[in-house]
This record gives sequence, structure tokens and C-alpha cells, in this order.
Amino acid sequence: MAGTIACLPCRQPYISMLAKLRRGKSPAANPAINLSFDGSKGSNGHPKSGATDAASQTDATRYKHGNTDLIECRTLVKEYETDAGRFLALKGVNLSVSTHEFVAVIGKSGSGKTTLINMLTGIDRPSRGEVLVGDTAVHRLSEGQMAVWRGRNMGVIFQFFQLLPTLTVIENVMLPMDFCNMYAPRERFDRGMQLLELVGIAENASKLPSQTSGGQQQRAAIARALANDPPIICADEPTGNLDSKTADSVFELFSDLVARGKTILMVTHDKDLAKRVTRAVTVADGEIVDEIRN
Amino acid sequence: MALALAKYSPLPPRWRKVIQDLWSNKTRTALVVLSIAVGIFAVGSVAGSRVILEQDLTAQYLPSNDRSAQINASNIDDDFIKSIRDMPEVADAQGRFATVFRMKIGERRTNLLLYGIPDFNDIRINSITFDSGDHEPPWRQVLLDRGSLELFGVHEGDSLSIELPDGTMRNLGIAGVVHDINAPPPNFSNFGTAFATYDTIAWLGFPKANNQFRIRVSEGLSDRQHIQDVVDKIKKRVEDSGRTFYGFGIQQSPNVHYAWDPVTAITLILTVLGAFSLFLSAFLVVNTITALMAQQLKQIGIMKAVGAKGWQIGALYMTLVFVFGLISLAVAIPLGALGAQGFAGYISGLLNFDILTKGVPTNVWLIELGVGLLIPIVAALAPVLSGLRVSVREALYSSGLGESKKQKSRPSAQPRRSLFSFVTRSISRPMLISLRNTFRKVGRLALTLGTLTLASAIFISVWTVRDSLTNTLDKSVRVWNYDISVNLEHTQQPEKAVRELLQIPGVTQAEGWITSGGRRLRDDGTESRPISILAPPGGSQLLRPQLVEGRLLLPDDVSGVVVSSDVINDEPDVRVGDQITMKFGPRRFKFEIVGIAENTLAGNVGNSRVMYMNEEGYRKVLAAGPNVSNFIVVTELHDAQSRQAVGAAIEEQFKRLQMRVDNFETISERRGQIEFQFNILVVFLLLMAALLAVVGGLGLAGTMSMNVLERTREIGVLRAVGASDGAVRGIVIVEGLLIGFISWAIGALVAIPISQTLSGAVGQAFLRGKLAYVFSTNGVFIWLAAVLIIATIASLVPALRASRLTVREVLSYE
Repeated sequence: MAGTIACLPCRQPYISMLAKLRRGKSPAANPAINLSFDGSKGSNGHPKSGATDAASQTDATRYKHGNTDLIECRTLVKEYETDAGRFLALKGVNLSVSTHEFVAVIGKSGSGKTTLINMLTGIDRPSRGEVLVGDTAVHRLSEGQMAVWRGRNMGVIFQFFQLLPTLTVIENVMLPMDFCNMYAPRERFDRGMQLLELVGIAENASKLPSQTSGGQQQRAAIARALANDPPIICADEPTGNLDSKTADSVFELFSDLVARGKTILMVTHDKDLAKRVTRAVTVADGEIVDEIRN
Repeated sequence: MALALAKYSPLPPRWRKVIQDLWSNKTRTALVVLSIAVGIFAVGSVAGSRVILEQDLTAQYLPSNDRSAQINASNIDDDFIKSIRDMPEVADAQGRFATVFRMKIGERRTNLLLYGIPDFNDIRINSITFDSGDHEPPWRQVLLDRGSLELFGVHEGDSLSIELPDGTMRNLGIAGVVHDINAPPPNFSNFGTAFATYDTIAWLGFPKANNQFRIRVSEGLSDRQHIQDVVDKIKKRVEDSGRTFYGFGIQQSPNVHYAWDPVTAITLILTVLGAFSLFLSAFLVVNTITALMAQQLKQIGIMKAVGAKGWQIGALYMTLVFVFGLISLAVAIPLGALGAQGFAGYISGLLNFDILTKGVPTNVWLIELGVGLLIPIVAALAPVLSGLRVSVREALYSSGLGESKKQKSRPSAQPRRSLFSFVTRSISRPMLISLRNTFRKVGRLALTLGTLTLASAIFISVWTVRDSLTNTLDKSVRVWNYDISVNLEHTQQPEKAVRELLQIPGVTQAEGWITSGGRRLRDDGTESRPISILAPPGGSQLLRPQLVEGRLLLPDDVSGVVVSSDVINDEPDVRVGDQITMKFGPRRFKFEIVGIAENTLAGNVGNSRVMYMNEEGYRKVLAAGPNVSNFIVVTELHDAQSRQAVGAAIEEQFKRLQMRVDNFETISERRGQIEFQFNILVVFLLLMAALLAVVGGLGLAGTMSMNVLERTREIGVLRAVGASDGAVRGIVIVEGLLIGFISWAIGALVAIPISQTLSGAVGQAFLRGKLAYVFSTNGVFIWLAAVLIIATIASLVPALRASRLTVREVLSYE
């Protein structure tokens, strides 16, 4: 079995959250609302994520592969073959991220920040080095294992939203639950609607992505990233295609998610946003050149 | 309330995606469905008609109790027939009377095969079914086979005017219509078939007696050699009883309807072409699914990114393909059934039997289901798997679907560029874009070209078969360097008859030929099938056999003979230079084979075992008298009408001279009959070729649609820099035409070996020999015109779509 990391502990049933939503309270503004609706198992009885509870594990605890932090990148090297010759996108990057951290990876275009985040999500593989997330050595997973692991443990948000154009917004949100067989079929719809309420676009649930604005699509993509209640969210320039007001509200949403116990890594080139995160890591020419803790 | 807007659906989102993918791109769905449907239709109609024809022909043939053999002898009374029936090898025997009358219908002359039947309530061998009217024809009336109604242009209640041997005319009323499944089909033979009582036969001037009897053997109904052995025993019995044995007939394939072999041959060839259609439609599926996977690459990446396993995504696309197959089946099965019924109905009409099967037999349904569901899945497997192998990063971060995966620098690229630099400088920019676009997606181009090339090759091959059949016929006709063959009822002095013939206006040359028949007596004592003897005067220029081996006859050849290839096919031990023993009745003679000639096509295609010898040689060896009954006439004009008119004049003149004409046949009639049979095959071959053309067109339409879809952004850029509607349309159409042209050029080359193989197969199936192969240049240019039209039509819709795109639309295209 591929290594897994823990899901968030169950604190409150989702029904109570729905009730609060219906009373007109903004879920983003309400710290009592929990994103984990079902403890460590899906209501269909399938395990939702790994045996190790990352949230309750202290940083001093060693994970299976010896990492003490939730995410550890060890001397990551990524080399591409191009027409122009070999290109080193990452040059031995080391990075550790603890639980509940909100880390911004900043840098100029072509600096290697997207490559770095792709290593963490398993979208790309390092040429050399290790990527350890919880108990999982991500770099060792096969494509099939990676898909299962990512679906259950990692919420991925892209700059261009990447919603399936032929599915409605709610169907896009339900898709990860469907693929990972999480929650009972009926429960998936309710949970999807809750997540859309959470990100504030429930009224667009039955629309196709092309019928919604960029900001709404990005919110839908965030809801989709939260579908399987992953403890880690990786977002690649999530506000890059949004106007400043919408970008701000998306950032607020992220902050709220961190407050609820999620660990978020966000690639951005917006230095102002970088000041509002727990930690900002600056990447240049494939290396981490600066780290600021806020 | 916002929540009320979205409704819960029990269908999981991934399956919803399958439905949306089917529905959201209707053009693509239609193209894939049509591509698969064409293949299923081809297989369904060909397999369906094959099963229906074989099933229904057998169902009607077997109850008729066809004869194992017929024996013509003298004085066949009931006691003798009973003695034959009592033989352990014989299951049944029945006597009947048979003769042929000349008939005149308007200006047309034709023949009536009249059977005298002793008891219409007890026809056990070659039984007939009664369609309408009387079950036993009254005196001076007949029951007419239904196939003859059209030939004679008559109906029940009408009468037939027949000419008796003494030249008097008699009218026979048509008392009823029957169906004789074993009667020669009027479309092919120019013979009608009728049945009368022995009283009517007597009224026509013949004795009230059998002149032949038919037998069915007790066992080995399909064993020709066994039947031959039984006939040999009967022959001995006939001769031992003091009767005269005139001859016998055994079917080429006993216990099988005479049309079985040609029907199975034609359906087999069509099955091969149907399989080609299926193969091509599988090509289209591969092409379309490859494009679909390319279009969906990003979506595959997204699905993988949100946790979809490879097999889950694979299952989605295979389900999509499965549904494509289901829709195709829904379209193709009814059309295939119609095609099968239509084809089977046409053939059965020509061969005078009924189609009893309604719809399509279950096994054909199963074949169609298998083909419709399995072929697309198998065809889609490779593109789906290759799509799934793409990593999430490649899927999500590839900049466009039109880009090539890896542009490796090729050492040859530079010289090639310089080689074409002149061309690229001298043609317009839009044309240059078309030219370059054509070669951008090499894999897709290869598949499209493969489909169209194969369609081209098959089309040209079919046309080549058609031309080769015509060439074979032409060559055959050239052997008969005359216009009319006249058979007299009684032999005449050749000099006298020729003198009379030359008196008739329009006749320029005439010869008397000996026509006879014999059998080869093999070393082991067995006899061959009948061999026709054709003996024109030595040095005659009116018969020109095409030599295969050895030499032609010299005027002074006495025992030298030339045999047709079919004799050698039957008697493979015979070589040029060998002595061959021939039996003419009870007498045996030795001849020397000096040459082998190509088969000629007789009216009855495929039966051309002929031995050519000099008239003088025949007389000398056989000590035959001078009289002959077959006269060959050359006319002044060589068109069908003139030949027919001269033939009728000969018949009239000879009637006045008391030299009754048994029948005459013009070369135009003989050619027409053979052509008619060939045309049936050619029509169906061309139908299959047209189907292949449709498949090729669909393939090209699909490719052009995909190309336009994938180049939406580029088209937007072209529009943004000022490309007019016409220029955008032109770029797409020229690309389509270019693909069509390339496929035509390659297809014409590929057609050479394919057409040789197909011609060989058709020759073997229909003529038991080779066709006079001639590569059809007409076919090549007809297909060029066709493929350019197909390419224009196939590109037109995508071109119109491209020209309608606005810059705003294309820039928002993802």
C-alpha cells in the first residue's frame, strides 16, 4: 500500500455546518465550521486516508521515512531535456513544511516554483532527490499509486482552474470523491454542495464552467480540491488569472482553510500576498534563495 | 434557494462525463458512429445476404429431390424404370419426356424446354411447386415455370406459339404457373420451361413415352464419382437390355443447386470486400479515438490530478467507445438487414427462387453485435492506452494540441528545406499553409491516407476486375470470328447449305462445322466429363483459339487436336505431345494433343471443355459422313440488330428449303448473356467499392474536422491578420484535396497487386481460370475525379466551420 498521510480529525458533523450556512452565516468567517465531515473513514466504510494522523502528530515525531515535518523535499534536482540542451529547473532544493503552515512559493516566471510544487503533488518526478509527504515517499510511487495517493491526500489547484468543461460545477466537485470512491453516492452530492456553499458559489452548482466567471471557476476548483478532505492543498498561481478583489477573497478562503487545520502551499508571483502567509519561500534559478517567516 | 438549483443525480459524475462527451460534440459522435456503422452495414448486408441465400436456396432445393443423374435412352418403359429403381444403389427413378421447341415471340426467337410428365400427382424427382392455376394441365395446355413468364412476356391464360419439327405452329395454353427450382434460369439461358401431360406431348407429334429417366442414388448423393459408377452400371443394364444409351448428365456438384457455387463465390468475394470495409472503419475509429484522446489530454491530466486511476479513465473512454458501438449498431443493423434482403432478393430473382427468411438470421445479428462492439473497442485500445500513458505534467502543461511532441533536429531537414525552397517561394502563402498543415500530424495523416489509399486501391481494383472481365469476354469473342452460329435440326451437305446461305442478303461468308461430343477414356478405364468437339474446315479463319502452349492446328493435321485449358484442368495428367483416347459412343479413337488453348466463355459461363480439330481429320479418324448440322455465318454488318435480322432471314429461308433450323445464336446474343452475368458481379463489386469510398470520405471528413478543431487558435490568428472567409476555407479544402490526391497516387500503385489478386479470385470463382487481366486506367482516372469530389465534400463542412469562427471565439477556445 502506498504511504498515506492523515486526514483531519472529525470535530463536528457537516449537518451542523449546513444548518449554520442556512442561517445565513458566512462559513469562511465562521471558525467553528469544520471541513472534515466524517472522521478517518468515509461513510461508505472506505478508509479516507492513511493510518497516521498528521494533524495530531507533533513535529518532533518521525514519520516512516525519517522525516519530522509533514512535507520534506531533500536535495531535489529536476533536469529537462530540451531542443536547446539540458535545462536544470531545480538545483538541489531542500524544503520542509509543517502541518497547518501556509507557505507561499514566490519567484519570477521560469524560476522553478511550479516545478517545485509539481514535485510535491506528484504531477512531476524529481530527477534526483526525495519528496516525503507524511509517511509517503512520493518520488517512489508509480503513476497508479500516485493517482490514488494524490486523490485522497492532496488537493491541487491550478492557475487555469482546469475544470472539466462538459461537467457542471457540482459534478466537477464530486469527481474526486467519485474516482477515489469516497463517501456514499448521495453523500457526495451533499458534500459537494456544502463545499460550494463554503466557497460561496452554490448558486452556480448546476452551471457549466464556461457559464461562470474566472473567480467562480477558481472557487469551484478550490471546492474540488477540498472534496476528499485532503490535509494538504497545493495551489499553483491560484490568483494569477483573477482580478485583485477576487484574488483577495480567494486568499481569504485559503487563510480560513489553514485556520481549520489544512496545510497549504501556494505558488504565487504576488509579493503582497506573500506577506500574508505563514512563510514565504523565494525561488530563483531553481534554488531557494530566501525564506521569510511572517 | 440556491441549493435547489442543483439536483442530485444517481449517475456518478464520471459517467455523466461520458454522456456529455457523446452529446457535446455531435459532429464527432456522428462521424465515429458512421465510421463504425459503415463497417457493420457492410458485414451485416454481405453476411446477411449470404446466410439468407444459402439458407433459402437449400430450403427450397432439398425438398425438390434433385436428380443425381439423368439418362437418355430408348424405350424406357415403366418395367425398365422399376428394374432401375430396384437396384440397391438407386433410391428412386422416374421417367419423363423432354424436348426443346423453337418459339417465336414477336420478332424474337427463343426456346421452350417442354417436359412431358406421366403423373402430375407423383413427381418425386425434381418436383415442382404449384403457384397458381391447375395442378395438372388440360390437353393442349401447359404449366409454365414462373421464371419463364417474364422471358416470354406472357401471363396465365395466354398461349405460347411453338414450332414443331415439321415446321407447323401449335398454340399451347398456359393453364397454370409452377416453380421449378431446378429449371435453367431464363435470365441466363434464354430457355423457358413448361410441363405438359403425355396426351399433349402426343398432340405435338411425339410418342406417349419417356425419352429419359432420372435417378437418385441411395447413398453418396454428393459423391460425383459414386454417381458416375452407378450411371456406368445403369448404362450397362440399358445396353444389355437391347436399348440404346444416348447419354447421361450428372451435375457438376451433385446434391447442390446449380447456383450454389456462383452464389457462394460472389458472396465470398463480397465478404472479403466487406471485411475490407470493416478494416477501414476500424482505421477510422483508431484515427478518431486518437484525436479524441489528444483533445481530451488536458482532461485526462485533470482527472489524474484529482485522483483518477489509469484504469478508471481507461474505463471511461472504453465505455464511450462501447456506446459509440451501440449507437452504430442501432443505425447499421436495420440498414444491414435492408441491404441483406435487397441483395438476396435481387440474386434470388435472377436465379428464380424465393427469399423465405424475414429480416436477418440470428447468427448474422450475433456477427454484427460482435463486430459492432468488439472492433471499435479493439481499435480504440491502442489510442486510449497511449493517451493514458501521458503523465499529468505532460497532459496539463503541453502548450497546445497541435504541437509535436519532440521536434528533434534532423540532419536531413536543412537540405529538404532547400530542396523545396523554390516550391515554397513560388506558391501562395495560403497554399503553403495547406501544404504544411497536411504534414503536421504525421500519425493522423498516415491513418487517413491508409484508409483512403485502401479505398482507392480497392475501387481501382474493382474497376480493373470489371475491365478484365470485359477483356476476357472480348478475347473470347475474338476466338469466334463470325457473327451467327446456325444449328440445323438435321445434318445437311455443307456445300449445298453454304451455297444457300451465301444467297441470303447480308451473308458474306459461311462454313459448315462439325460439332460433336465425346469423353476421354482414361488409362484406368474411367471416363471424363463430356468434351465438346469443334471441327471447322482445316485452315478456317473463323475460329481463332488463343494458344497457351504448343501450337495451333495446321490445315493438314489429321489426328492432332488442340484442347481448351478446362480439359487440362479436368485431366491434369494430359500434356502437349500426349496421346489421348476419346470415346464417341461405343467407339474409341486416339488423338495427339498438339496445343492447349485458352478457355472461351460459353453462354453457360464456366463450361468450356472443348477439343478443336480439323473437319477433315475428324471425318478421317471417325470415318464420319460429309453432312454437318452446324453452320457458321459471317454477316456484312456486325451490329446486334443486323445479326439478328440475318439470323431470322436464314431461319425463314431454310424453312422454305425444308432445312429446319433448330436454333441460331448471334455473337451479340452470346456476348450479351455473358455480359449480363458479369454485370451482376460488377454491380455488386462497385457497390462495395462505393461503400469503401464512403468510408474513405468519412475518414477524410473526420480528419479535416479534427484538424480544424485543433487549429482553432491558428485560424483565429489568420483571421486577426486579415484572412478572408474564402482564404480560410481554401486552406482547409486544399489540404483535403492534397490528402485525396496523395491517397489516389499511392492507391493506384497499391491497386496493381490487389487487382491482380482480386482478378485471380474472380476468375477462379466464376470461370475456373484466369481473367485476361488488364489494369484499368479508366478506373484510375474515375477514382481521381471521385476522390477529389469526396475530398472537397469532406472538407467543405470543416472549411465552412473554420470560416465562421470569429476572432473572439477562437481566442476564448481552450
